[in-house]
Amino acid sequence: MYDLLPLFVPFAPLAAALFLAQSALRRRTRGPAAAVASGAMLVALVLALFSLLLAVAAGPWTLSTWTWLTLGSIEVRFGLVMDHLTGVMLVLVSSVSLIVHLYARRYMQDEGGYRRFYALLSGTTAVTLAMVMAADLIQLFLLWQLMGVLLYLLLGFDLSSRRAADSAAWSLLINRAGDLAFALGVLLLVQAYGTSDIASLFERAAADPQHFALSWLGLPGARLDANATATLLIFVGAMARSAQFPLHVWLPNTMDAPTPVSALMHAGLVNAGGFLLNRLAPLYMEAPTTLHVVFVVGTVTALIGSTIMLTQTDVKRALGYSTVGQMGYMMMEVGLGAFALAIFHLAAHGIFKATLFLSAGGVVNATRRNPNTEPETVSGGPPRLPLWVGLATTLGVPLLILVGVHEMLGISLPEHQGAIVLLFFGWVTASQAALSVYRAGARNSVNATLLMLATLFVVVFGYMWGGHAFEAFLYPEGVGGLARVAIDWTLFYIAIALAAALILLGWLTAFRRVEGAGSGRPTARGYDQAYVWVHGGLFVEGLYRRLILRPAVALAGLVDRYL
Amino acid sequence: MLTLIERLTAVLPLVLIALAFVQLRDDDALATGRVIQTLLAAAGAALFAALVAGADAALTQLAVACGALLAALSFAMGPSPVPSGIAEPARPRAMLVLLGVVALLALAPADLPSGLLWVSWLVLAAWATHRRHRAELRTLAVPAIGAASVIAGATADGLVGPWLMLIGAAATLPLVPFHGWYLSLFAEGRTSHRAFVAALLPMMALILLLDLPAAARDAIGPVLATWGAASLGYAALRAFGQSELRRVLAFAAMASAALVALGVGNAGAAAAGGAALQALSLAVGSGGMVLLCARLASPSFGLPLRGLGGLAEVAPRLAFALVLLTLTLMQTPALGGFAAWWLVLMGSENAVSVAALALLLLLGASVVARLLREVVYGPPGSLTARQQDLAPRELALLGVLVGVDLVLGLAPGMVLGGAGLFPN
Repeated sequence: MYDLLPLFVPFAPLAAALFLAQSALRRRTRGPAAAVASGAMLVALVLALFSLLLAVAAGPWTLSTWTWLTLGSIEVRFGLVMDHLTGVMLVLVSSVSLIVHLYARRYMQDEGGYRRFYALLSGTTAVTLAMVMAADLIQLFLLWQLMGVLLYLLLGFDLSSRRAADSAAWSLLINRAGDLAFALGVLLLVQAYGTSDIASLFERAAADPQHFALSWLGLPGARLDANATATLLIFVGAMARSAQFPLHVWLPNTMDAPTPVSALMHAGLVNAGGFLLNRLAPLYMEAPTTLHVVFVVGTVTALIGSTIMLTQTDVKRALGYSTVGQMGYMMMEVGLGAFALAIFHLAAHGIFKATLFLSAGGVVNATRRNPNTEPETVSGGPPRLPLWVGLATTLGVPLLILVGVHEMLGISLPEHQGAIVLLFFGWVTASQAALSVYRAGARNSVNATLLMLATLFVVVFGYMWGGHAFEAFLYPEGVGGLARVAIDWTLFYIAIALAAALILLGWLTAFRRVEGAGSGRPTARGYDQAYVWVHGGLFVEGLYRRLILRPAVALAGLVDRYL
Repeated sequence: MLTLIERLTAVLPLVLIALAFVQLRDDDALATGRVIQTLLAAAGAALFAALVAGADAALTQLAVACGALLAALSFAMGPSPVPSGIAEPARPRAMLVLLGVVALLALAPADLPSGLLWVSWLVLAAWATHRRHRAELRTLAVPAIGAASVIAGATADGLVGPWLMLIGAAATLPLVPFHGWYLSLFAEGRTSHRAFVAALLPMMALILLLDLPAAARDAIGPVLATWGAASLGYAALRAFGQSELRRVLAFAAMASAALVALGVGNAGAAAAGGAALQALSLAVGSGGMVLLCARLASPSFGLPLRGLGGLAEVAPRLAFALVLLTLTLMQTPALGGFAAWWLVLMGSENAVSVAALALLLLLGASVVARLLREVVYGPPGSLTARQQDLAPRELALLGVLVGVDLVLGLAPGMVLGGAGLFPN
């Protein structure tokens, strides 16, 4: 009977959500909504922990629940898979959600829709928990898309604000676009291999990779690799959910949501993309081309997200772009075949970001009431970090890590590609931190920077060892030869050069800005323009408006008028 | 060969038309309506003669020509604003009636098409006795044309039959350009009848199409799929461009109805199963939507979006019901529309169908997001202030509709298999 235990993990928050939803409609008083929802989450967490322990002790198992439908020889059976990955995700999601539930008890007490809030929070958590244990690809997609709809409702929680509705709509539309690609990917896989059961899919894709003709698209003779095409399409879905460039615009726009929602979203929901690629890791290992694309997209996202974050003057938007950058790192790790490291990263980032949001609740709440709060107002004092110190540390750190990883730990980079990610992670994060401190003019900025860099060293080396241990835990049998997805070193050098150029640009911009402000000299026009571009998020959102939204509205108007 | 009951149901429109004619003679402002009802009477008489005479080819063609003329007139008339918001004390009963229909569908005997045809005529007859408006005549006329085409198609021999059936199905679903009556459905008339028609007619069209012999379906399939895709794109775009609540909902429902045509048009078990599921889901979703539209009070002409807003603050239950029902129209996972969309996608045979399905997913979400932004969010608008919230009983009844849709979405195999509609 123990194999049924994980089924009750999502059931507890789901029951709470349904109970609170019906009671919210009866306009009762606030009541014990927080206690009910938090209690259910506590139950879910305990059950998740037991499930994880069982999976470790007894080994992974699967369980079929019911047949969604049968279509010829294809039977879509919903069920659960309880392996180490599922266990880790269950514990992570339920623990972060429990913290958010507890935190929101007081934070939301002055807001309207208290019960509705908890109903949505518990419902979203329940769907996420059900998704991470899905054993069937169509089931996973269904829950994935449902999570997107619930995310829309959560982000638009403040019903008095049309601005909240707008930002929620962005999330719905971009996630729907991603879902569409995801659906097509699933469809290709089901048609190519005749099953939607994830385990069977892995076996068939590895044993007999399929190709499919494009005659139905009017391209007779053309054939595509089913594995590569399907994984690429599914990755587009992950891109939308995990805010990868250029589908990232919805995330920085969601800062009108209550802080607990932001915490849950940044700490848990946006990580779904990393989870999805991990769940399908054996399939992705059969599609090295896709993994290279994942790496490039992740790298670009990490660099762009981190760079834009540095220029933001609104605290919550800066946090949003910070998450975009972190999601980029996560995708880089997946792109390098370091799947376990991505989960390690998303867990670490989830806890870190939840803590950041919740501990800064007061400040964030103040900024929510006044969205144009300048981060500069939080700190003060003149900058005390000389430019050369920052440059030396941010460009020196990666070299030291490289040498450390390669020589001291004796890890060969081509065989352990997670090290490359660490290099990037350490490099860009250190640069980001030092730049932020420098630009904000924090007191004792030299000490603060050195402390951060020292911490970074500890984290990076710990990450390296921890990462390996975690990989052995998460994938005891491995996910397949990393050599098959060996990175193209030319690509790697290009990315390094790009990162170096951006960091240099950041330093020079920050330096000229601070110096210019101090001396009254104007900064160069080119720098200002670049700054404006980066500050505006490279105007990707504006591009969407001009190229998609406006033409669609115009076309709808024409059809309405003339047809 | 038609059964006795089908012959009897063919007579009913004649009675109905005669009743409408008598009533309209006293109406002082509806000259176009008179023309239409005269033509309707002529078409009905021709059809009746065709049936009695044993489906003579020439008479059948005459009936079809009359039907086409009526369709063209109906389309040319365009939408006509009719004051709405008339008090309708029978709302809860209408909801119960709709639930009865759902139960009827679940328990329907083997000769479902004949039974449904018969019920639809009764509905139309009851409808025509309610109010006298030009738009209402159109609402009556187009499905009548559809039914006439169907009966003519059933009696015709050879290649003509399936195409007549196709026209009948297109008028019933509805597909563009036979959609004028569907818009009226959401805005005018007696609520119970509107809900009936919204729920039943797409089902009738589906069953009609599925009952066609395989060869006939193969013949009309590509045209039906293309027609469905075009209709879907048209309706989705129109929904996006509307500024009146009920028209937004009507076009969104019409886009969902086009999915039925798309499914049947793509030969194959998956797509046909998807079409069946969509028809069921649409019956529930659009029926509920019609009821909700009737529940929204309006002092004069419709419910312009600019006058709405803040519904969540004024009438939270009404807002909640609106959110739930709009979700049924945007292929939300776990609801019937999603399973139907997925099955039709699995059975799609060409790029046009896939593109139409993609459009439905994206524009559906856009329409819902815009609608909720204008109606549910923000400060209360001038029209919103007049809205009264749903009673718990009404909410529960709408909840049952959503519950039915949930069953469709979570166990589509069971539902389709149980109804004998899933062609494995």
